[in-house]
Amino acid sequence: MQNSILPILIFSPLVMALFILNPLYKNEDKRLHKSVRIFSLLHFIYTVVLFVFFDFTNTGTEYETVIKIFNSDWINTLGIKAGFNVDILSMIMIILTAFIFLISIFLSQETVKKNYQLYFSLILILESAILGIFCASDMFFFLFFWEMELIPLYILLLKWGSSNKQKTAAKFILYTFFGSIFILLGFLIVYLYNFINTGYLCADFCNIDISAMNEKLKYITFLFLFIGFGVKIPVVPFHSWLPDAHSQAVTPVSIILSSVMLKTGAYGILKFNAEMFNDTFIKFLPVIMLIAMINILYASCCAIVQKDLKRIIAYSGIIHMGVFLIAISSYNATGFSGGIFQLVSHALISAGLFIIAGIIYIKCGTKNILRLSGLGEKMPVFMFLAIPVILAAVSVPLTSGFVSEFLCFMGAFWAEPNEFYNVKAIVIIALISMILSSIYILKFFHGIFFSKILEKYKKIKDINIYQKTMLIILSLYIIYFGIFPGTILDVLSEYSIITFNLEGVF
Amino acid sequence: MEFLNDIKNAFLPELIIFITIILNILLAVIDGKNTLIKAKIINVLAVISALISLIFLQIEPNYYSYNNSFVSNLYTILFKALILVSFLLVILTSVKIIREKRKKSFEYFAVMQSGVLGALTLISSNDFLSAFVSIEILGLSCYFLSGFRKNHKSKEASLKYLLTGAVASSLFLFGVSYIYGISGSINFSVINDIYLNSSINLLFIVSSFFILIGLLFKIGSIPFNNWIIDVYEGSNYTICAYISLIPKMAAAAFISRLFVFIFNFSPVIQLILAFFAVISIIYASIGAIHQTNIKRLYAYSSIIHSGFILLALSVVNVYSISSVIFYIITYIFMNIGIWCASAIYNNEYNTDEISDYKGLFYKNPYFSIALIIFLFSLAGIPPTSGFLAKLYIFTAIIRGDLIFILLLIFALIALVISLAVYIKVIKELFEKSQTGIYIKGKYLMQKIILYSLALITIIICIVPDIFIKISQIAAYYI
Repeated sequence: MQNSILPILIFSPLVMALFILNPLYKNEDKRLHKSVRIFSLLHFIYTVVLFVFFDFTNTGTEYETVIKIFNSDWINTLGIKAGFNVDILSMIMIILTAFIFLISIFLSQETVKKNYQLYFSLILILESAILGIFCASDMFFFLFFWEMELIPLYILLLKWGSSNKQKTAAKFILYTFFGSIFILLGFLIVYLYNFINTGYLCADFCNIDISAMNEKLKYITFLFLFIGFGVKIPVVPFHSWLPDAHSQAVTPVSIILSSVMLKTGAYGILKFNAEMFNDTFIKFLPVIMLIAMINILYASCCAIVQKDLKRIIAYSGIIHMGVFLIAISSYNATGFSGGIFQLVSHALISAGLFIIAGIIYIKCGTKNILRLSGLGEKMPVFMFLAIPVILAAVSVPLTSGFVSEFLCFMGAFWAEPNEFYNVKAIVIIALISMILSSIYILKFFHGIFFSKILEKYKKIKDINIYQKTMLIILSLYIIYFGIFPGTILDVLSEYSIITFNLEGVF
Repeated sequence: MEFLNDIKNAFLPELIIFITIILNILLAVIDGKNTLIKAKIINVLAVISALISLIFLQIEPNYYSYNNSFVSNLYTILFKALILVSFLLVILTSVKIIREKRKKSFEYFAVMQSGVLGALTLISSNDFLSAFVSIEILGLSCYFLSGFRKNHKSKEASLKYLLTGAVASSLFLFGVSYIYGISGSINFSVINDIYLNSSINLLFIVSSFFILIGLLFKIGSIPFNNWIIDVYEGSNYTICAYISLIPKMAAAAFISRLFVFIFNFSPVIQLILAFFAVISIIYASIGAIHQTNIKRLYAYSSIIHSGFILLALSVVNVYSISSVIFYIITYIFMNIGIWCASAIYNNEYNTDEISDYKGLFYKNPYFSIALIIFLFSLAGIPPTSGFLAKLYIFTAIIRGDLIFILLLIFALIALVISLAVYIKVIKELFEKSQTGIYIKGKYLMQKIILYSLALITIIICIVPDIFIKISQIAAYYI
């Protein structure tokens, strides 16, 4: 019984997806909608139960943050196993994933009018793949899920995108596949090294000890992995797929892309670059901090000049991930726990922002900020519910955005000095983004809701009950984490101190 | 009596195929009308009985027959089984060609079967003479088949194939003559024994190089790859599936035997092969981007796959050979799958252009899903068998020297380009179009095979262990 907890969690969406694909359902069947909603609700409840019964106290003892729950043979002859491990980081990501998918499935009714069957089955396959990434304990099994998510996302972008969808979808899949090639190379090197070193084939990354690896080989492998995960995060030279994909996709897919997909890259960096290649990671800290600083500044400047609502949010996603990178480049407990908290907070905020942009797109038929104005007059409830999300995006105190970014920058400020540049100066430069973020987010808010209403928007009605509920739930979470961040931060700091060998500066 | 004993222990499938060829020719003369169904049934039964007869062959120890010129062991038997299975699938999925040549279906099958006979004997040949004869049998039948349609493009394809093939065969013979000159024998085991005790000279490397070039023609890789694109464009879909599988598998099996027995004495040859392989992968993935004809696209894709097979073969060890066998097992299913899908579509709509696949998804969702599975499998994306095949090949390659790992990086980057090629087709499936064509239910046999192939492609990814074990055992016997 205990063995099947994780496989049920991960593969039940896949089974549901295959069930939906059967020819008995007609393509436009309304029952389909209902059954998928009920399924996603049950799935979310299942993860909540898992979360409640998860043993968080395990952080205290040494090296027992990982709980082995499932391990099955997949390719015995190559030593590759279909295993799942769950630690606190993955547990948080799992519940986040289930929650975000619940939101996007409930929002799908408004945006997707045709071909439910394919749409929902692809969304559910995607959910399986992403949950698999967060749980897999074997490198190649991880890669299996990592590449498996390409197929549903590619088709989702291709079929339900707006104007320029073909180019966007191709760009997305090629960039991501390019990244996964580097991950594959890195994994192959680790796998081969482990084989030469120990004499048996094993790809379970919790059991592989690479501390005796040649220094140069370590650098190469680290760089391969960093490029591979950097494409997903995204790190600036590889970022150009993201604004396109996020803005062209249909709203639920945009939510999934920004709230969950980017986190898989961050998860990879934490699991492999920071945990597995720990000592190389410490040597690369100055480089990562510099990259993060460039990420933040570049994306801030880009976000200010955008006119498309979704592109603004997409660039704000790059900024938030840059803040995550600068936080982990601090290499202290404050930074790491703040960085992981930033992942959660950004998922909630960007989901909220995309919901707002999606509602505007449905109601007004445009995403161009210059063609919108004064909608607050006709949609007062919507405006009221949007305020917490907007404030969190500008990191105003009492929202989760404030807590996470404050911790991230504080951690970065306390980072060990290095011989190349002044760390504090870099952090201060990166902090300019805080001012810039208020510029583009307030432009976003102002452009939509304030000033005079245009003639053509006078017949618009306020949002419906689903959208209200979604925004209320998100706002409640954002405010809850803003006021009581301690519940999750204590666990996270303890976890990161043990896993990444940090000094406790909390 | 020894003659019969040899047949009983090692040559049952060849005997059955040979009898079928003669039967086909005789029936073509005797039976004049409505021969299609009869021809198909007779040939399917013959291939199935040849497959069953593989069980009765001697596995251990290696069985040398006809004055040591042929060998039979588990490795050859596995490859024979793979060739017969793929031939069976090719016959069952064939749609148009037989209906076009309704009156000539016995001749058509006679030519096809003789090609299979050549492939079977090539796999088990143990000296250069039997290998050369087998290569020529296989080649001749392929030249015939590519010219089967009698239109302009088909003639061009056949002539080009014949001329390139003639050059390649003569190069092969040239290399063999040098080897004979150096060692005084054409038997692999004898040559192997001679070179175990003596050093390698330049002449040996040159002659091996020529032999290799002759075989690379068959597998469809650089430097003799020009024919493959035109032949695919000129031939029918069924024949394309035949040409893309049977000569390639036979040549891959034979090259790996040659490497184990002869070429492994010189690392230079290994490097040359790896170099050719990587150049093929890069060349084909770049060349395929601008193709608008689906057959030409599949032709380039087959060059990419030959490149990966050769790259793994060049790292000569048991592990890499088993990875090649696993790759070929998965490649059979996905390759026949895409050819079958395109053949059904072509028969309904009579087009080869990729842009005519527009909007296929809306009218034929399950058919398109199968096609998407095959295309992603060719690109090596999970959850399809192509992913595991590539993964296994890469784990084999990194066990080689550092130079192979460097070449692997280039191959992997070319793999990203090749994904851009496959998504060109998938992109069209989802495009909005008014004139979507509906594929009717009349291709029941083909559709059943298509969907079961798609299922197999995914099942291999879920339970790969049994297939990998089979390929490893076979590789130990080589």
